[in-house]
Amino acid sequence: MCLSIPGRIEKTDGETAVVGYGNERRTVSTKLVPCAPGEWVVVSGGFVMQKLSEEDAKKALALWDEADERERRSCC
Amino acid sequence: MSVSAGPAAERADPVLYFLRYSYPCAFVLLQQRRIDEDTYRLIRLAALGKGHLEKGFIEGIFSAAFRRLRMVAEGRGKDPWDLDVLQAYFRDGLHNACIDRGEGMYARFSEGFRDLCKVRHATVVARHADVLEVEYDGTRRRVVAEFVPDAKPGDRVTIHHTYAIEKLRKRPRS
Repeated sequence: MCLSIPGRIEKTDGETAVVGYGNERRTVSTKLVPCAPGEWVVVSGGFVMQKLSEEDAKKALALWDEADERERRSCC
Repeated sequence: MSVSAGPAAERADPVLYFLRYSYPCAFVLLQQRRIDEDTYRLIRLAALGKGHLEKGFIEGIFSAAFRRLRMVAEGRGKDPWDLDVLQAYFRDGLHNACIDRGEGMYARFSEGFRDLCKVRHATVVARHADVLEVEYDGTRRRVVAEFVPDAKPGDRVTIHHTYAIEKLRKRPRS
């Protein structure tokens, strides 16, 4: 299951952060992995799971963009 | 990867068992708009044992997982909701094997990225309130303790994404 879509930290406030995914914003917890604005992350279950380099994040985003519907539905 | 003993909760409810392993992934489904916010909340509540979801509803949401679970179940002459099937898939390595085979989207991603999806057997190193620090193969990670509220340092647990999922019996000392 469960490949994640990277997002970028827009702002942080204590143990929460707003992550941008294109036009979408989600509030997530940084309790497991402290983060700073501008960093690329993958989130799972509402918690930041891991930070990514910008290069890796952009690579992953491009892969999601390229995928067709059948592939997108193949993981979970 | 093999495990000699079952989890502490040997007769876990299969629906709860499945939802605990798959709840962290539901966030990805939300990102892909395959489920909406309300469904995401329902999955979370059900994974915490605070709500009920029909099996058919869950199968529709996690369709790829159930395609694989049905294959595992057929090979064993069992139902995909049989706890043995779910344990073989999530806890005992078949889920990770699917990732390693590079099925579907997995083929496109790097090994490091795919590794984030795997279920790991880890040892609890420390506990800070509701966060567990765990270690496996020399890697340290912090995970949420919500599903294993009594986990303490020294316990063996499985982890999936950002969550500790279930406690494992300790390995016999050799």
